[in-house]
Amino acid sequence: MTFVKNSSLSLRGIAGIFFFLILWEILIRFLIKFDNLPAPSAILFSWFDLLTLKQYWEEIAHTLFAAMLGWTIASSVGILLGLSLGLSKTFYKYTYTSIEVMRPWPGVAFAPIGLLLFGFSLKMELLVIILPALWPVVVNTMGGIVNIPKSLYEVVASLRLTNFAKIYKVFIPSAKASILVGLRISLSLSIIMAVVAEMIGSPNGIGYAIIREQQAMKPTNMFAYIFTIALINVFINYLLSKIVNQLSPGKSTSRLNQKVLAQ
Amino acid sequence: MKFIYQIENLFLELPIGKTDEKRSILKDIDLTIESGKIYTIVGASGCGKTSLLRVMGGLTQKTSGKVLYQNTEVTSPPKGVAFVFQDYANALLPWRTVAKNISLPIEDTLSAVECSARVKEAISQVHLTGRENDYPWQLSGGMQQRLQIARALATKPNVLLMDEPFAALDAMTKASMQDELLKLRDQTNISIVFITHDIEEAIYLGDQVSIMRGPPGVIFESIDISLSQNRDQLTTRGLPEFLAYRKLIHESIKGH
Repeated sequence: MTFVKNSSLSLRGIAGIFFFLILWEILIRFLIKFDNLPAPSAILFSWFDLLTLKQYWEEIAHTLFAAMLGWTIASSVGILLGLSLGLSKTFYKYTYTSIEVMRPWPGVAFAPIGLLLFGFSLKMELLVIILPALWPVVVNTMGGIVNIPKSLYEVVASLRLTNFAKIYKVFIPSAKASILVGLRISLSLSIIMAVVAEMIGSPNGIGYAIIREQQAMKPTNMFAYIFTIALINVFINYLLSKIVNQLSPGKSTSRLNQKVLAQ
Repeated sequence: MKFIYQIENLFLELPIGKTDEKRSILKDIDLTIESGKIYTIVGASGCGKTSLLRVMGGLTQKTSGKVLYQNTEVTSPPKGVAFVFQDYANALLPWRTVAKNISLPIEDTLSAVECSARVKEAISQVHLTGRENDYPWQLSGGMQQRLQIARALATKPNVLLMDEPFAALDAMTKASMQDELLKLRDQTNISIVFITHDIEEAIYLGDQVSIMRGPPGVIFESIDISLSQNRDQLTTRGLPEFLAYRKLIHESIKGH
């Protein structure tokens, strides 16, 4: 039950999904004829078959590994960059124009360059994940720091804290909610970009599997993989909200969810 | 005679908005602070009281003149001076418990044993014993302000700079906090500079009341309060001398 509550799914939400699936089933069985659009029941049976394959779990593991590694790198670099931008006016003045230019670049556009540089490899996949996943962390960390009330700067000055203590003990905790929002957006983005990168160039993981099943003309398997991505997203978000709850006791994540949705 | 603070010919000008134009905030301020005394500063709002305190605390840079703390120019918050902000809610860290808020300025420099002893002492000085593990938002306004004072006391300051610390509190809490402050001064020989716009509070607490007028802020006059050190909310405030001071200061602020 806690799983259902924390991952912003409700019983009614699940009922809604079932209603949609049943509608889909009826449409495919009785109303429209679409050669390669399978009914949910057919997808489910293919999925059961996939679950028994070792390869299926390896593909999930690969995509998860790439997404998590990319996300970890993007988060670490992003937090450092966001802190520097928020704390140093000089750094902000010299770099923010560049960041505004780089931010809207689609990460996929770097896939061909990644291919050229690194070949069909994990490195290429990481490039495509990290470039777009960086910015939500940078912008939200910076925003969190900039929004710290001026009075808090005076408090830490009057308490004669060292610069390290100011940042580590006061500024980062104070910007924590905003940083976590950035981390969550970046996490979803990392999973998306991992799949995209695998479709384009990395012969591994769920993205590659979808393309492979397409070429094998197995739409039921394709859908099974697509639903797998959805489940991974739900699961990862659940894990993260658990961690967030641990980090900020007493604060519900519902506000965080709203913020993420609003982005 | 040894002064803890010596302020001479202090001028402060601050830019208006983001323009190059400057506004005169403080004009030719002279003030000296001795140890173990409470100095209250009264004046209408906007007259520069807080600016004066901020310059003394090293939070705002003066334009010209001398501000000496223990014979050294104040350019940043000096060691031994603790600032108590008016807005206690924004001065405390909501993610730290009462004890952890108090230990913030000392936990990196003192040993764990010393630190916890200091915290314990500060908590008992402001009567928050038993609330060590509460979070600030679980405390009433008066308790939060006491917590801020405890954090200041934990640094063992020679001087407390207090910016209208009781302004947001109800009358009952305010009265008991005033008495606590007087007790604290008697116990620790600390000097306190206390900003208020409440004339009665200024007299009740003060060994010396300075009247500010402005803007630009000037100390119009300083009056020594020769009431006995043992003050009581009912009897002291009813004394004819107290009422005479009140009339005098009221007229001095108004400028009649």
